[in-house]
Amino acid sequence: MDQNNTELKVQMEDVEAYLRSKYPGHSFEVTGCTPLAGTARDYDEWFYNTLDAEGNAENESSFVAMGRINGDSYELTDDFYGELIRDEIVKNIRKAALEAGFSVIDIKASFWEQFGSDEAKDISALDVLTGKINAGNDIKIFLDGSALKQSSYENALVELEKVFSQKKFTGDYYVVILKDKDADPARDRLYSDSFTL
Amino acid sequence: MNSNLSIEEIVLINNLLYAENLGGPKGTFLSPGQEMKTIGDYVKGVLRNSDLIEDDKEYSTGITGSEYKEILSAVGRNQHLKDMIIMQVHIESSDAGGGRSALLYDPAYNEAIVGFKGTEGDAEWIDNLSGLCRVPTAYQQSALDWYRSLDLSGYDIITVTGHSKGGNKSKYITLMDESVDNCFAMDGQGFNDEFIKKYASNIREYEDKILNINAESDFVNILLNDVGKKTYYLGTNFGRLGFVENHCSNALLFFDDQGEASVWKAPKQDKKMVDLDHMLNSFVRSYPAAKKEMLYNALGNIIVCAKNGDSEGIISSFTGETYSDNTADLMAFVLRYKEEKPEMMTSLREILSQNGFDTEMLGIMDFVTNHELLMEFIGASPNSIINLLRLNNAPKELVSFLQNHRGLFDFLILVASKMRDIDPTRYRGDDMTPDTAGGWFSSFARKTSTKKKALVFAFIFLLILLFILLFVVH
Repeated sequence: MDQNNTELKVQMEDVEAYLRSKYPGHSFEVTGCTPLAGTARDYDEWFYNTLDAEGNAENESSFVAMGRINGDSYELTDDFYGELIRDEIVKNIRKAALEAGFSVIDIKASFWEQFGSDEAKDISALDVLTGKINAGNDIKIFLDGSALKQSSYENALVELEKVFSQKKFTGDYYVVILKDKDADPARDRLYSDSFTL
Repeated sequence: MNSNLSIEEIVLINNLLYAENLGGPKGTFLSPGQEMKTIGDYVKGVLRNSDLIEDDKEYSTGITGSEYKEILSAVGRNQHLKDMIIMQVHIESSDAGGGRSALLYDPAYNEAIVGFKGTEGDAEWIDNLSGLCRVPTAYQQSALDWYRSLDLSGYDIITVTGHSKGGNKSKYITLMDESVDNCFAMDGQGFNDEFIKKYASNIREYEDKILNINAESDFVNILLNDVGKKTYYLGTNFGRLGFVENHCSNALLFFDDQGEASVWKAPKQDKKMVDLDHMLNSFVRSYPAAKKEMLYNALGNIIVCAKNGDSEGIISSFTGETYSDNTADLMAFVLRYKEEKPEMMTSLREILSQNGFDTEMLGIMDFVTNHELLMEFIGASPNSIINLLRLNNAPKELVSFLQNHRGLFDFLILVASKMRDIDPTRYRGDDMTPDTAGGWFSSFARKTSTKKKALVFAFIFLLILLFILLFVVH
């Protein structure tokens, strides 16, 4: 067990070095690891936070990086790129939906894919949104049901899908129609469904 | 209990909690990316890429891709489950074992369902074993802390559930926090004697909220003392992992031709498990408190080594200086116990057969291990035994194994010497309850204490008789 702990400590330093080198404008603190040992996973999960100028953690929840042993090397991947492009992606989706007459309450974007040291350093939001880079876009859109112009919720979804498709957006889109703009996103749902582009 | 979940739905939810990387990262149910989606959204998203799920690959302990497809299809047919919303996914820090859990919301009945995944990695296995001597364990407490951090004020019904360690965490939370309305624990282990004594009043007050849903031949729910009502269901798995599959979360699920999932009640618990339960309880009670910490370290080491395929590590638990005293204690107890209760051999034979082992040698092993002198003789004569095996054309692997692990012969002598001092029926093997906890159970459950009790009564009776005689004479 002691040997495992020593190995983990070395790997922990490797993770910090990897993140610092990949995202030079940011500070990171590795907060823990769920090793693959004893699980069905083939990778370790590393948890980390970003730090502000004073060295305080910027987020409540940690980000996850994955570490896989490949021969003699320990290969790391991460999804921190999502933090760098999320706002712009949300802005683009909101703009497209608003232009089509939808009343958008909220949009949440996340990305399923992880990239290694040489990938996604200077990633472009538009490349991700339009699928030039496959990041596994996972978009949740909350709409105001009281402001819908379509005859049915199903029709609203079909129209939204058409709008995004014309813009060449890609990914999985989960659309939740809420009672009104002040509605609770879980309790006040009128309808929800998803489509993939 | 006032939950609106059926047993089938509870079992399906617990299977979803284990779903990881099915066809890629979006196949992980307990991932923050799933928050605010419905279970239906999750299932639809995964099944959209079902061709990426490999049928024969094991995605969580004992559950293959094809089995997950069956589970997901069954969930996809259940509108009640599909409408539930994944409100929050929680991943414990590595210091707290990395356990995973989720808060689900059932909009049909305004019910909150807090689900805990079973053992996540080696650290949680160690915590499982610390339950032998700690009250509470570190990870039980961190699960309670997270539960208490949730805002559950707006829900009409609060239900906790989990499989295996998740079941144990659910029961712990139910006993510690009065806000829980229902607890469904699948194959979850129980609590040690000290816990039952310490929290007897909590158990009396809240155990009616707990329903244990166990596979009839599951071997984890028998560990330590259970609380709450126990129900047993038929198990479906005797496949790749043999007997071990009785503990898999999908062991209870049957699927019909339409893909509908169902569970079937068993008439009672498998007798093998009843016997094993009694033996383990007797052993834990007989073991000195000062040595329990070391024992759980030894068992933890064996389990972690076994899971990692480290056979040398397992052997060193028996032959190395660190743990051999504890593992010899355990082995000596087991051998003496089966000497007293020969029906244990029938159970062992059945379990080994189910795992494809040849049980022909079991009779000889039974005979040898019932005689300490014979064991000592074998232990003291490694060369003769190895030569004897060689002359009798024993498998080369066995001969070579014994040649390379002569420490096992010393271990045999150590076990034999310990067997003489063990009375395996000294302590009761049934589960302790709040009513049997405390003085009465611990004092009089033991055979020797019953003798003491009889002596005390006889002494008091004689004193009274003497007093009456003296009174009459005067």
